[in-house]
Amino acid sequence: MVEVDENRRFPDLLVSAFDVHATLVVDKELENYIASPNKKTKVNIGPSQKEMFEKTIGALFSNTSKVTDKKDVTSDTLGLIITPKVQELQTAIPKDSKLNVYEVWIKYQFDISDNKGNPIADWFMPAYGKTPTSFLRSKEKALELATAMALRDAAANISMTFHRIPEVSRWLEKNDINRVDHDG
Amino acid sequence: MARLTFLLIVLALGACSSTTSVDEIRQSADPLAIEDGDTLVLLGRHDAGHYVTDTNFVNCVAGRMEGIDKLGILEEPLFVDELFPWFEPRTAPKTLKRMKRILSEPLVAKKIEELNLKYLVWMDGHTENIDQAGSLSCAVGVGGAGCFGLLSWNKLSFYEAVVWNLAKMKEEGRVRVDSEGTNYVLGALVPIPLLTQSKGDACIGMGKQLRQFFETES
Repeated sequence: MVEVDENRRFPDLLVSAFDVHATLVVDKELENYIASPNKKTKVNIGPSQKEMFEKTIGALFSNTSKVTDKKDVTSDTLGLIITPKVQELQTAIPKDSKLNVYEVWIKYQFDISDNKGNPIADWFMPAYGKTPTSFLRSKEKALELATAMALRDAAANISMTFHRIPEVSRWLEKNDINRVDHDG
Repeated sequence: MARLTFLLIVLALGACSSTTSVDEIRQSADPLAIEDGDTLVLLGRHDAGHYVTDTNFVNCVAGRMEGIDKLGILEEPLFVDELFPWFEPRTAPKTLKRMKRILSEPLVAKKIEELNLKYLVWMDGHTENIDQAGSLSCAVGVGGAGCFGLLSWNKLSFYEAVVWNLAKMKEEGRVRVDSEGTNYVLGALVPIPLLTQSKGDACIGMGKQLRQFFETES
């Protein structure tokens, strides 16, 4: 089983936040997600991706909360509800790809709605991580590192492109929501 | 048999060296300006499709840059985490124009200022094994065990460094290092590895050349 090292610190994000409340929905499936990209490999990304989403959404919006079910959102003030889901996780190892790198792809799907439950966007986002082959490094350790890199890439992708999703961009503009600088 | 083995070892050792070439482009032959507390960071490029610039190589060159008067060297992982997510493979600036755009983000500009970062050196390249030839086989029997044969391959390292001056927002120069050497494993009852240090030599060449950007040659 490949498991992202829990001692691996996920860094705080240095991004300006949008001045609006966002609710992150982390259900049991996301928190305990174990991918089986092939018969021989299992990759546990649940706890690590939960931390990644909490830090990323926490940095991207000025106020955030977390629920385990979208139905638990009771506020009907202005805000977003973001429900991420893993669509697929794939791995490639040098033996198969003939490249000197271990690779991990994660495909996420985001259900984005407003606080009243009105759908805003359905967004698919890829994340990718790779790590070089190295003398005495096991396949598990290499895939662990590539998975950690893929989760960092996911955070980078969300923080750089979330507001550029056309429907989200229109919603932010319509509600006159701008970025505010803070020190995280 | 002993003489033949000795001769093979001497021949292999003679051939077991690497050739390194260093090319440089600089805007000026004068050393780059450093003020007390200025820092520099060396970052590996990770956006190529089939390789990742080796962190160990970046660390090796960073180690060789230590000790330049008044110039502090920042550790790559620490810098990348402090500036997360602006220097990830997906987001890292490939041009000075993009770097300028990133520095227009107030939080990033503030962090760069806090770190006193004046110079950023991008390292791109890798080491690969090519042209494998020969064979080596090992066997275990009732009477004992042994390896026989000769295996050889070439190790090719090529790295390029680009020096950015963040205070002036300009490229100060580039250094390219190519290093190639042949490795052998000789099977003379026991396997005897005779390995070249092409990556190590590339690091030494790169470190020495980069230091000259900041120091007057003595």
